[in-house]
Amino acid sequence: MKKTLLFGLIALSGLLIAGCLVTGQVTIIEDVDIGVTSNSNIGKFHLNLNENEDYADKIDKIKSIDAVSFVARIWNREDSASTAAIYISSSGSYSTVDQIEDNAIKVLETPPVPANNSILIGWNDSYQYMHNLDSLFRYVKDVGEFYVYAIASPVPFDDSIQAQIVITMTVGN
Amino acid sequence: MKVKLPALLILLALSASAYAVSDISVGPFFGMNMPLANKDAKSGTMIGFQAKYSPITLFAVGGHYQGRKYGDPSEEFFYGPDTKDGGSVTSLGIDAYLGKTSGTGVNFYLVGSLGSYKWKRENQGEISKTTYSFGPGLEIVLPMKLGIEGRALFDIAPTGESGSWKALLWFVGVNYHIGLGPM
Repeated sequence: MKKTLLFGLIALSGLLIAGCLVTGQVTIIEDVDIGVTSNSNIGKFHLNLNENEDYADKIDKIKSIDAVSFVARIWNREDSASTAAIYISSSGSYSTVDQIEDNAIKVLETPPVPANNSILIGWNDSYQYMHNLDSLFRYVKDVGEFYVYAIASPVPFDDSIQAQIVITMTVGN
Repeated sequence: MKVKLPALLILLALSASAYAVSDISVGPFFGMNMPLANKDAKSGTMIGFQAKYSPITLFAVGGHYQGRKYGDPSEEFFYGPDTKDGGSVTSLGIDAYLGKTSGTGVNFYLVGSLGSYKWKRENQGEISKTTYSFGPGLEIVLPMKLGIEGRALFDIAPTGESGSWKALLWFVGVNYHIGLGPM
């Protein structure tokens, strides 16, 4: 019986030392209201995760970012199909498609959106359209504040985008 | 030759003794897999198969295969409630038992396991981790060499940076004992 208890105590001690028992996973959802975006007036949104109470409470306790995606409804207001894309950057000074494509990081590219119609990218589907997750994870964990741009192709484009960022992370003491 | 013959005799004696008292059991199990402090998955079912070898009553080693199914997590979005695939986990591992691990009647033991952990979800990449679990088990072994077992396990998959995914696993299993240990 002593050996049995010792075995259990050793296992439990190891886990406590590793901090494994005091971490948990949380999901944070934050609005990304990009709105109307066109080639002549590109839509952008300043996303400050620190304004999210859950994120601000846990920023010093983040152990890992486990998943990030964007859910979105995209309206294509042009007469031809288009593909929308979301980019992120720490700079909010970009105003052309070329500047964004050259300097920002593409994190989402949608499937084709039919002319004068909309599509919804739901939570489960969102992951298959994500790009450059390592960079996005770093922005979420280490920066917490960045600009989100939306463009589309082909040019000209005229879209309206309502989106939310969904972050699942492990936090603990 | 003087040394080899006694050594051979001792080895034969030990082998015969081990055969007489050792217990090998195999069988399937069915249970639940309940994530703890985890917003990325919900509870689901678990099935598996295990084998155990008890060379002596107080100690045993074994192996297992687990197939776990997670339930789909849900969240509220601007377009309404939505879910994503909870996915499934397969785990192949080894087990060490301490306690009364063989013989007919009531057996009670603590078990510690080390396993490979592969989590597959729709639209998300496969995640591979090493998982550690431990907990108590109880088995009632009938004279007909069938054992009914119940076990609870605290399961931890470290994710790096001192974080981890945790789950409570419990199952009920049926084991067939090939040879039984001392009673």
